[in-house]
Amino acid sequence: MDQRVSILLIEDDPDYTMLINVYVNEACGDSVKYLIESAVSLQGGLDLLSRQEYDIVLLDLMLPDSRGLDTLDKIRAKTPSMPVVVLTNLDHDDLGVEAIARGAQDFLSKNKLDAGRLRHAIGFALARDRLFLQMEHLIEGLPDGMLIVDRSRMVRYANAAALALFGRKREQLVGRLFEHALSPDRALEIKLPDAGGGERSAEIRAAEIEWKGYPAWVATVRDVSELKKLEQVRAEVKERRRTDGLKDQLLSTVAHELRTPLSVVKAVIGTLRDHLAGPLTQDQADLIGTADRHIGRLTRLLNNFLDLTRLESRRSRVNRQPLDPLALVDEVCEGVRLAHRGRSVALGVELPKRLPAVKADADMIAQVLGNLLDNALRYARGRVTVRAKASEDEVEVSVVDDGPGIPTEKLALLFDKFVQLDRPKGGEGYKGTGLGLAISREIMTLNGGRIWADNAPGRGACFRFTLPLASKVEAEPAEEVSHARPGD
Amino acid sequence: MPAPEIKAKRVLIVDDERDLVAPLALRLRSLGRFEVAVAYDGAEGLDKASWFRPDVMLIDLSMPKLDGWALCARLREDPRTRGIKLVIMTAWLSPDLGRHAMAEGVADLLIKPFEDEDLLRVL
Repeated sequence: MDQRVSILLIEDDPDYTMLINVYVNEACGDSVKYLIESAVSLQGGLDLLSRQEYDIVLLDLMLPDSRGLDTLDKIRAKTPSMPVVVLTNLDHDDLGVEAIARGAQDFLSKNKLDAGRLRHAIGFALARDRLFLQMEHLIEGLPDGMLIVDRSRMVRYANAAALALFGRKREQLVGRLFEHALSPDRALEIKLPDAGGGERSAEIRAAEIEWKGYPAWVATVRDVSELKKLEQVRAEVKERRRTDGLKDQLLSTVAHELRTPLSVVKAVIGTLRDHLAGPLTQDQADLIGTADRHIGRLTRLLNNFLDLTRLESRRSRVNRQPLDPLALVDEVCEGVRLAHRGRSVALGVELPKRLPAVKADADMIAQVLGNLLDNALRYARGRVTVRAKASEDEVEVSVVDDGPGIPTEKLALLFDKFVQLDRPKGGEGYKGTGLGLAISREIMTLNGGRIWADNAPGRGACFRFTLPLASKVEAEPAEEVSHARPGD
Repeated sequence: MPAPEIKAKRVLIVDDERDLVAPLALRLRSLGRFEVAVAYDGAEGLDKASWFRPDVMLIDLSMPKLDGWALCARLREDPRTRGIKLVIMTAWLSPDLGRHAMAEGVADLLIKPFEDEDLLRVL
């Protein structure tokens, strides 16, 4: 391999310049050729360095325009990556050692110079330089940021990842004061601005090292934003589970504790209402009737409350089975007709001859449809119509009434808890619990369906829900039955 | 109170909530088809079951001395009371209530507050 090494010699003593030229020529062999140019002052050397590329600089530290290690510093400032071998006089070995600490690759004593030593020093310097370059590439290419910060907190080096993390150019970071105090004992967490205007979290770890002869810090900077986010989500989930658990427990306890006194009042009022404790005057009977209705309302509220608590905490067991939506609609409508016997509102059913099977919990869906029909019958002026149709993936059931419709601003809130519309005109004073639609939505979610409402102004409200076709739902292990209250 | 008919069903209500027991007993007695006895804790219920020989027992779950489940178990153990139809009354809905009831040989459940029709249905 024919290697060419171009050398810049900066030396003001012509005798040494000549001598070194001789040694360099002597050192040339089959595998390596040395080409040498020389300058007699620092400025001359710097001029050459800016005009031409060299592999290595042989540098006399005592020049007419610069003396001592300052000379080395100026060369390194000009070409930081250039390998430099320092030429020293006798008795100046200490200076040579210090020059190495300041970044020189090696030093040579002028009076011990010969071809072999020169060749050795140059070869060694170049090898060290290659190694250094390799290391620098390695550090530069690290996915984590790396900084060298000296004891005066000046940043001496920053790799590409560090620049990217801090979002700064090299000159905005290197040579500037580092704003964070480093310590080997603990990792430092800092916030860094994000390109998108947000914030990222970074973790800085530091260790003490010696950098070019001085004590310094080497610091790694790692982006921990994703980790932080994950940690935060985990903590939030844990906290939410805890508070949900407490809330469920509290609601459940309150609701259950209320049921016992409620059952007593219900039984007592029922006894009076049915004249089991003796005859009542008309006024007494009316008052007892009022109390009885409100006990019914309180009972519904409590039951809905418990239903919703259980649904929301996913403690209800869903028993999804393939079922015929037509049969379900017919059955629910029949039950609702019976319950609303004697009222002036008609319940019409417009169904296709056949519908594909859906997969759902029949009891739960009957509860949803029953609830929708109940609402519609209370708000309708004269007619409620139930329709159903199938699409590729699902069956959609709609309940349309000819009542006042839903105010647009309420549409979005309708399925929230405790949202109620104004009483229907001429309604019977029936008050719902404000939970029915919230329960319906929970049920539809558990059954893989959707529920929503819309209306045509002045033409009443339309509630729709969908259920996935049985053929589109992957077979899942049968879940245990029983969300319905026994005895219902 | 109408006199019980010869074939009147004998019902024993066991509940420490006296305020509930009173109207329940009154309602059942007023129907004339039931002979009603009451007990206010599990131990008293067990004792009364052995001599009142009810056809049906309405049993509250949380009671002093002997709770509802323990009472059911004791009634099952004794050949003389084994044939009584057991109905649990409770305000507490727990997910395994149904399973527990089945395991204890309970025939039906009444969730408080219950409707009069539900009461008559289980009887």
